[in-house]
Amino acid sequence: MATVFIPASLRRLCGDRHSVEVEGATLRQVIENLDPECPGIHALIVEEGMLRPGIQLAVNGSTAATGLLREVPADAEVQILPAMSGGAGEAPGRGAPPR
Amino acid sequence: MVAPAKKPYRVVGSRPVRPDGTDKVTGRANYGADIRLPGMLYGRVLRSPHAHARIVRIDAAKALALPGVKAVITQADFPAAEDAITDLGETASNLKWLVDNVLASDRALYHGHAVAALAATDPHVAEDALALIEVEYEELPPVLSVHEAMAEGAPRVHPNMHTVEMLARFSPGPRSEHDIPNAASHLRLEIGDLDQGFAEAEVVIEREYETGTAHQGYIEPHNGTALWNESGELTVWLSTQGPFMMRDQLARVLKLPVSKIRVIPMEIGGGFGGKIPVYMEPMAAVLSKKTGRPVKMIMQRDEVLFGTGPTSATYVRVKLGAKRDGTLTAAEAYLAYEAGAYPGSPVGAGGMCMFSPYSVPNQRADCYDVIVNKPKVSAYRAPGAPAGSFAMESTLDELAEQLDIDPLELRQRNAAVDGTRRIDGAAFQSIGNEAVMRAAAESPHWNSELQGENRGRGIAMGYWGNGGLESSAYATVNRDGTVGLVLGSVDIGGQRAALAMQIAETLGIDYEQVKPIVVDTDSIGFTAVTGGSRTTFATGWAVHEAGLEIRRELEARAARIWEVDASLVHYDDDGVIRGPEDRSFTFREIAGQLHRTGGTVQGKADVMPEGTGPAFACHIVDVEVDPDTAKVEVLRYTAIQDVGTAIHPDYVEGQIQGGAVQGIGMALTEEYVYDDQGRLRNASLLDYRMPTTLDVPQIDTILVEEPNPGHPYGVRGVGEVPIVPPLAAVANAIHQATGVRTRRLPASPRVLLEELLPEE
Repeated sequence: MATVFIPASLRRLCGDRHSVEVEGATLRQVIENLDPECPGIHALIVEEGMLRPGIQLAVNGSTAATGLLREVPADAEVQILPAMSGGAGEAPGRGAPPR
Repeated sequence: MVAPAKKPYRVVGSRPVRPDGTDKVTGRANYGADIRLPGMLYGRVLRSPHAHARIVRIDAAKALALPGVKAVITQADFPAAEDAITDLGETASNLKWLVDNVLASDRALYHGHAVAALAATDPHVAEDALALIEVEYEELPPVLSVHEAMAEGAPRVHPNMHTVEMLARFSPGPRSEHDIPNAASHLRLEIGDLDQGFAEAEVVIEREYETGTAHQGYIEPHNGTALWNESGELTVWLSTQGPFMMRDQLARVLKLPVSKIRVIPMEIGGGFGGKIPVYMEPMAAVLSKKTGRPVKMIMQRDEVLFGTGPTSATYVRVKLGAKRDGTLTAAEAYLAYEAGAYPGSPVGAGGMCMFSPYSVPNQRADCYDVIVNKPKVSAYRAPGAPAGSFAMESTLDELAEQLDIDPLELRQRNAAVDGTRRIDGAAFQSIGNEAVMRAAAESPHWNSELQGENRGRGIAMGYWGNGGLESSAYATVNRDGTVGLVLGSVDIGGQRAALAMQIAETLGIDYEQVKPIVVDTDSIGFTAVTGGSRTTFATGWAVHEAGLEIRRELEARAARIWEVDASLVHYDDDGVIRGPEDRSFTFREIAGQLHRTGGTVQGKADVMPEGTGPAFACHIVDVEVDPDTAKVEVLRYTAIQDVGTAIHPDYVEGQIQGGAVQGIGMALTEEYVYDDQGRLRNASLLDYRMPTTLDVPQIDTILVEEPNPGHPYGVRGVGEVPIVPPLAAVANAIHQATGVRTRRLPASPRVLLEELLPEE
């Protein structure tokens, strides 16, 4: 079982849990298996089968260079990392994001 | 000064002459300004005189009528930009914002924002023509600080922008429940139970801090020459930290496939994170397409300050809880960083780094990315970390004073160690934080007595996570026994030398046998920016892997020559290939036989390594404050840092010294000065005051070498963390000298005098 640390902004999806234990041999499987525990989290992390731009995953503290393909050892810790820099929001003049 | 460490290497750890040194000191090195092409035109940029204005009309007729002027462009000459994120290596950026920052669309959002560009046959004609472009503006109220911008009812720089939660920001998720004017995003980092942590505390201290806008201050201005040929292929010569990132941005902005763009990196005169985004390069390309001629553009110094990305001005509030023995129980921060006119401040890194030197079980950082009418910020050496650490390390110093504990001792009692969790939940592995603090405690500087009036000593820690990302390299064995090493990493801080040394070590040959060269984007695989303290680490991995491939190939070749099984042949670390019956080849010997025994041998590698080792630093500074003028003189400075393995100690020390001086500049003198209309008033290096060699003493360095297990030679990135501690170290020293806690930097004489003088 991997222990996934849930960042503060996503804990509302996970019943305010700080971490969730899920099965998975790769990060892809871990994130897929996380979604039933934290409904909607998969769509926030994965886009068209790839990590969304600006989102990084780490395994045992090391940023996963191969993204969702990264193998996850047994009892590994997985972190969802914020982008270390870069901004957010929407382009001017493009309207508000859908609720 | 190098702390004793085991050095099992032949080349790594030595101090050879850099391969680019002679050309640079003799003026033969080619920079972007040296490019001259037949029929070349000269481009210039017209910039907004207002911090915020609607562009009502642009009329270029008079400029175009001037003899010699060949073209004028506005953003209308660019392909329409979609709303999508592009990855810039150290940052991610929305393409629409990227294009709008290159050339304003309907509104100018900061003083110096580009609104039009032209190309002419002569640079003086180009300059004269700028004055002939007529622009009608309708001025709008600017917002010039995070306080103004986030105030209830503040005018919104982007009217349709609402605060979103980071991590959900690229998805169709909900807005933040707390929409704050001009706050593009909110990121909460959190570990443990903050309420419980403060409940356990016996002492609680809360303080506020601000820092000004500081520029990277690279001496070489931005430059670029573009040639868009008749076949629709674009070639660009420029000064950049990331040719491939530049190619990708040009492709997105100009709607060209990357295969149609060749970016040729010239020598670079400094970057520090500021030479990653596009600015004039797309303009030069469009002007070239429009005129059919190459177009060269070089920024003037004031344009560099007006129109490129400095680092954020910041507001940070810190609250610490501790036991009376100094044990930290809780740490909380609120950070608001100016992003400039478009989202993308490094506030997340500020929140991420500020508590990382310490083991604090309960932490929270609320980070706000705030839009203001100033230039869009860019990466600057450990982006975002110095301001956050200034707040944390100053508060920690005050806590030490309250608890009557030596400030270094307080830090040591709370030091993060292997297994300590950062604020994002990740646990540290193999870090040198304690070793750095120990080296500081044992240093001659810390153990010396500071004598004299108005003098004080300060100390502060710093942390930076360092980067990995993609790198490519290949190496060719020449018949004279040399190795041609081909790199995609631009050389800013001695990377050619540091990478040549690593492959020399791998091959067991002399450094002088390696001939490194940096090539263009058509000549090597994708390589990420020289930035993020990644190059000696990640491209070092690539050259090591390339060297290993050469070793394997040469073993096979020797076996073929000797007609023995390859398993009986070994390439040893001394560069000698040994086989059965005492047969052997030196590297030079077998290199000389390659062309007659099957041809050239090459090694290549494309890597994206994990295992980046984080960096910790501790700085100690002595200052003297003139009681009449409040001018601060730095008397003595020592920087201690875990560097993993110092591949080339000269360049490691140089990085540390350079970072420290830039941090001293942020602490004492460097700041953008705006008037109340948002006009930048000090856009020159006379008035934007960077420290010179006359302003700082020798920066002593102590290299602590805790090898990174994630790299074949133990490399940790070294370039960024040295800019993190100086702000607080200097402020803490000023406090000891004067009794005044400096909560706003730079601590210029004006700012400090206000604190020093009696209130009357």
